[in-house]
Amino acid sequence: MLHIIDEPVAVNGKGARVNALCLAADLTEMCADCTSLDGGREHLAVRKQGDIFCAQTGRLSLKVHRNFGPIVVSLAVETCRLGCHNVTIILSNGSPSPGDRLGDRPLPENSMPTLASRMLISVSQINATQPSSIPLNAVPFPVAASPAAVPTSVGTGQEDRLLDLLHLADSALPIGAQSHSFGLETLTASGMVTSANLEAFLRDYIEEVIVVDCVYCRAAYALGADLAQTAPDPTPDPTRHTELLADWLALNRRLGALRTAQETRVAGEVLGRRFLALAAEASGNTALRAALDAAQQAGVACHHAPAFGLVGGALGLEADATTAAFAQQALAALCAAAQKLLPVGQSAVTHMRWRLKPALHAALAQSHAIPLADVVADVAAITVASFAPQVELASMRHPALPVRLFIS
Amino acid sequence: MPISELRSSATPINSVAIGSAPTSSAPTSSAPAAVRDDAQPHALCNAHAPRPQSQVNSQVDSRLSLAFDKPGAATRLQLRTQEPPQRVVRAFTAPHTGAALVHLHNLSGGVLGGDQLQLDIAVGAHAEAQVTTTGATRVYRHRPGYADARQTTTLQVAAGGLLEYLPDALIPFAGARYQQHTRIELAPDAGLFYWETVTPGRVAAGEVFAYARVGVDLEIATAGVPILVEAYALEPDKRPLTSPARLGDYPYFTTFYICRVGVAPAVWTTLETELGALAQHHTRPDHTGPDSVLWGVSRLAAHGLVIRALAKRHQPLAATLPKFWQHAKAALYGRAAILPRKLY
Repeated sequence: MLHIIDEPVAVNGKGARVNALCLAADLTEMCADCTSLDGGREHLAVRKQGDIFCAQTGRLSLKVHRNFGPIVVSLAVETCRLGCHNVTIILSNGSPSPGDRLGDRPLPENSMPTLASRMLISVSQINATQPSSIPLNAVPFPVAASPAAVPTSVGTGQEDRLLDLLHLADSALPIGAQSHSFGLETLTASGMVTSANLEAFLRDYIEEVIVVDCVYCRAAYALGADLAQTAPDPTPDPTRHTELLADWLALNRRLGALRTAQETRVAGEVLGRRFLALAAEASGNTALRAALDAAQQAGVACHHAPAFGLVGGALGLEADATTAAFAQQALAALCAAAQKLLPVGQSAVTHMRWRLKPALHAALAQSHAIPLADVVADVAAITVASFAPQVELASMRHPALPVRLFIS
Repeated sequence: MPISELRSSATPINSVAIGSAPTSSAPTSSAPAAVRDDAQPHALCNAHAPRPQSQVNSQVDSRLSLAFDKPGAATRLQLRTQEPPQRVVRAFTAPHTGAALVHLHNLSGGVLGGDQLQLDIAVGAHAEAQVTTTGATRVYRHRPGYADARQTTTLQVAAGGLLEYLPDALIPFAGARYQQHTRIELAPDAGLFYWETVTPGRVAAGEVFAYARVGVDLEIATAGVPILVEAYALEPDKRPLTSPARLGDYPYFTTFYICRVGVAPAVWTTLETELGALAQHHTRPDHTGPDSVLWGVSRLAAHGLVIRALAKRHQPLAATLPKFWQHAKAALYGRAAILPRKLY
């Protein structure tokens, strides 16, 4: 059992901090940010023993490695305004004093924390040069820069938009995309996907999964483009502004209903929220901020594909290019996971991705077949066929894997 | 008698009480033969001449509309519309719960090419209905010149009601073209147990993925908000189903949706864990083995769970689905699931 109390210590190197803390009883769930156990459960989605997400705040994910006796808990914190910071937290039954760095000492096997024990947790940021323990309430939370203070692009035209798109589609964008395999880890562990059939798998994954994302990305693009017109000043047409935000929420609800495997669904939600928040803050775009606020107020999770499309539309990036960029980075993320899971080299994957471009083109063509005007008119009418039960089942069975590298 | 005549002679029936035999002018015992007479290029026969375009309009257009209410202790079936070849077998009252147990029957023995079948079921407030079929749904070979066979189903469950929709497996024959369109609306505290199993075809006859197209789209919503959206199109010739992203080595698949609107998320979390353990127990993961089967459980976006499985054979699916059902029924309703009298 893991029990994290309300007076933890967040160790901060460069602004990373824990501003939501989770309590896990019997390795189930609790989000201290949601103030109560019952209330917290409303917002939580338990992935497996030791993995905790808060669907509402999305603040934490815990991964417990207990295969070799000692307990080491790794904790991903995504609330830092600088992006995602991977930190390692070490549990101890003792009572470390402030400033005490617990380091990488694993718990002795016989000191399994119990529900009754009140654990003090120290967090140290990986690679922080001089980590120090600071009481949570002493950490000044970075204040969001006002839109006016956000530096904007100095150039104009196509080049600027291309740079924006390349930046947003960069696999190094700190949203945590590298932490997910979307079921591939289970498929490789079971021998269903191997180096020999990886390319065929990826081709079919594009046909059945990425194509759905392309459609929703493009649909959200249409909403983003319209929101960019109404958000700076909704007063001339408040009804239209409200309708667009309602469509944005409906689009995300619909994609959430389409993703039946919870682990994959939550992964998409976490990536979507991080991406949208990052883009909104970096660009200072009012449409993105309005969409983010609307989702938070309604308790609706933002998924990655529509978040990407919305950003593309709101920033005036080209529709086809935005969708293509999303598809490309989605495939890149899966290939990166495959490289960690299978004996396949970088060159081989590069060639593979090159050969998969026709499949990406076909997926994009399918998304282009949906007129943007129709999307804005009726979000609920969006239907795209997808049949990937092996991938879904792999995601459902992922929490049961004895050893896991990925969150999903 | 041609189907078109049977259909036109069928009179909608209102308020047929539970236990009484439907009294519509639906076909008598000779009806199945009549249906097959009409469908003379029968799908079971591989060699039949294409129908001319002018006969497209002679395809079956049938509607079966059922309503369940609960005026007293027992749920009552009301038969609103019954047009051949669809037919409902009289309702039985389940012991203790008063639920109505009904069987759906297709007099023509299956879905013929061009059939346009509509099924509407409305479960009233606090009523409880269990709907199953008398056998597997066989989808016959597509008849050139006819539209794709289509089954449109609308299920509505009012507040506090419960619908258990548990049909037998779907068997698409070689050359079949079939589209299934299902919409389910759940009111507050409404419950749903809905499963669906799709087979690769007439395996014993050597037909594995020999159908032309099977499309399924399903939406479950509450208060107009979708909690489940599913849409797929299986076209084995165009997109191999044996892909590791699709079915892999498993020709059979099933999906089981378990919903009850308004149940606390913590209950779903617990149930997911319990059913997940059951799924683990029944999983045989060696995908090279002849009896391999994979089970998985996941919470839906809200108000429910989904169970999926892939299998080498049909029997493990048919035998295990009721176990999930029984466990979930006990957890959500505190009472036992009553299995239809069939072989599992």
